Amino acid sequence: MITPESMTKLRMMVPKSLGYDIIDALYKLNLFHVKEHIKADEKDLEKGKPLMRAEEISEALLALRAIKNELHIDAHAENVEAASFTRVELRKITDEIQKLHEDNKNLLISKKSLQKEIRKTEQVLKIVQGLDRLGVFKTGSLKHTSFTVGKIKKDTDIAKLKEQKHTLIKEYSLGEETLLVSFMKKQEHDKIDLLYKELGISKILVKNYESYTIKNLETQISKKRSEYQKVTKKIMEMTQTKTKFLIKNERILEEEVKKAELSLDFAHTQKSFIATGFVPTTKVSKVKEQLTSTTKGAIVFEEPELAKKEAVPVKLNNKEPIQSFEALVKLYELPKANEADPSFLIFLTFPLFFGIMLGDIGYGLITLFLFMWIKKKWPVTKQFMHIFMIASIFTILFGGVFGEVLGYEHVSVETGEKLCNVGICLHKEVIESHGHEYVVYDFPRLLNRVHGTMKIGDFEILSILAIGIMIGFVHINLGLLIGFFNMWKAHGFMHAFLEKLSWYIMQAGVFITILTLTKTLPLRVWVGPIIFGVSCVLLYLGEGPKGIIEIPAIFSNMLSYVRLGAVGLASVGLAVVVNENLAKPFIELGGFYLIPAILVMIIGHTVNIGLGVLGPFLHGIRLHYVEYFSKFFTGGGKPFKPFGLETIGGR
Amino acid sequence: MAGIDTALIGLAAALSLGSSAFAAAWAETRIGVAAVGAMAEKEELFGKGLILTVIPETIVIFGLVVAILIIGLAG
Repeated sequence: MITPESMTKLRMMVPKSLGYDIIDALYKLNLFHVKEHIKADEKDLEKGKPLMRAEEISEALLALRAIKNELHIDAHAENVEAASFTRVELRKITDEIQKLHEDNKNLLISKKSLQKEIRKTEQVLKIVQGLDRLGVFKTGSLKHTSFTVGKIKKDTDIAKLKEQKHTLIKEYSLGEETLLVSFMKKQEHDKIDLLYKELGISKILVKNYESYTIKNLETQISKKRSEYQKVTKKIMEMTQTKTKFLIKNERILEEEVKKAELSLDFAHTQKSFIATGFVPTTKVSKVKEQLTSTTKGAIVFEEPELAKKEAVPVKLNNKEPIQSFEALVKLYELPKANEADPSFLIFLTFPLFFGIMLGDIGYGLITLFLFMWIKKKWPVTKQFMHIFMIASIFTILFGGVFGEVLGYEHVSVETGEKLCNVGICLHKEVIESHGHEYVVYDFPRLLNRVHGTMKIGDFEILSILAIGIMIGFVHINLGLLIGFFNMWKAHGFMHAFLEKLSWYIMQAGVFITILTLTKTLPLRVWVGPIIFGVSCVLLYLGEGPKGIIEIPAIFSNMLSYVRLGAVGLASVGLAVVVNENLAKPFIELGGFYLIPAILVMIIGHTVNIGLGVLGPFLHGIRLHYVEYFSKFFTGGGKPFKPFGLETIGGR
Repeated sequence: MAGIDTALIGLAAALSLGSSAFAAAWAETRIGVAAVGAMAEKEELFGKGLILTVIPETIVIFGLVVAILIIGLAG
């Protein structure tokens, strides 16, 4: 719990003939984090090649995705069960996919060519209809009259043509284009032809259309349309019947490709694979047993020493409810393998900080139910919702400590009496506000965070702010203590003492100085400063000039915890504005005005809850990341990713 | 009615908090933009981006402390 799960480096040697079996066994175990073989590290061993079946599977996967794309299937299978396939079984799947790909391709080609043919025939039909309507077919046999046919775009300027004498122009719309026929005397023919050329009118040769009849063309079109419909139906049927098959096998093939390509990360000799990786120490015997039985003993294991500074993958090892707080650690960085896991520490303090900052029974209850609902509605958010739910419980607890419900610290006499009638009797008190005295029923509380003050020397300061700094003092010193143990483990006692414990000595020096100056401690004035000076020297020895530069930081870090009180005061301030300044005037008017009062309260408190969740979350997490983690946490660990089936939304 | 002295104390406290809040906000916008840009490239940088963005917030806390000191010293 305090440190990440212990890992063992495991190396195994297996004959290449058992390649798939061993990879499949590792896949099912889902416990082996593969370490890629880098040739530069071990020059005698070659880098592995993918299994023989890799190419075949990749091709089938490509074909499958092409079909999915062509049939517009977007869905992707979420989870499949870990399964293994012999080459024959795989071949059956890949063959079926390739056949499906071929069928689908043919159907699509015929659909496209039919589409093209229909469009072409429709165009011919339109021209034939136009020529017929404009009487071109009949004019062909006249003795003195000739004609020229052309097609023009709608906006073509044919004014010059229209100006010609003894020329009759007729038009027939073909949709986007227009069929244009000019009838003229036979001797004028060449002149008009030339004009057609000049105006850019594309000519149509009527003899090409003479063989068509409208009826024939119409029959052809309807025949092709029915063929087209048949092909479309076949494609639709294929989409309907094969979607499941495609989606399921896509996922299966993806997993099989992963298996077939895993050997790329192995080292290999002529006849064997050498796989190196990490296994959780508690699972080593299980892995060995399973692999030995799979290979019938044809495997050799070795547990090599870790190389200097070798990156060991990190798997955090916590149980609920602490496990949820791992999300906050991961959001920052994973700890290194030999470092303390701060999840438990965040679990201890993050909800506490959140509670102190929001601290309101009403808000706590609302956010608790809200987060419960979000968790149910979107299970992916489970981890974060757990954190927020625990934080909401602390909000309710601190709401009780501060005696606040939706920003109210007390209720009116009428409400107080009504509450007393149902068994909740509050304490009656006279309060002063804006020069007037009011009688109210006050909520019980341990600490009034808006008005409660305490005296430090001559200073009167809001208690909640002082408490914030005190929490900061404890929190930061706890961080230093953990840092001390981390450092001790990694670099020895002396290093840890100089780097971390010097800070304690420095704080002692400062406090002794203050206490001596205020005559609380009967010591000589120089004792404190000398302790402070010694600590500075120790710090310089431990951390170098960086340590000296950071001296003011430790005190500013503690002051930073003032926000624990300040954020809460802002939240209370906003709630009071909503209740007293916005809603109260309406409530006092009564009757119909209660509706806007309720609306104002709903909107105001919704905004305040939104800010009240965002603020304490960000400030709470920031106090951990910036002030707390900087005292002990290095981070930068790589996550433990065992080779196996990755479930969506899984860990 | 409070005197002019009280008003000046209030103004001084407000100025210390207000100006430090403005400074922090200005600093945060500059850092925030860069942090979001970095996050768009590499999502894992969220933690670091958040830390860098909120670092100037300490300025406001100091502003608040100074404001409290001003009010406290003035009694």
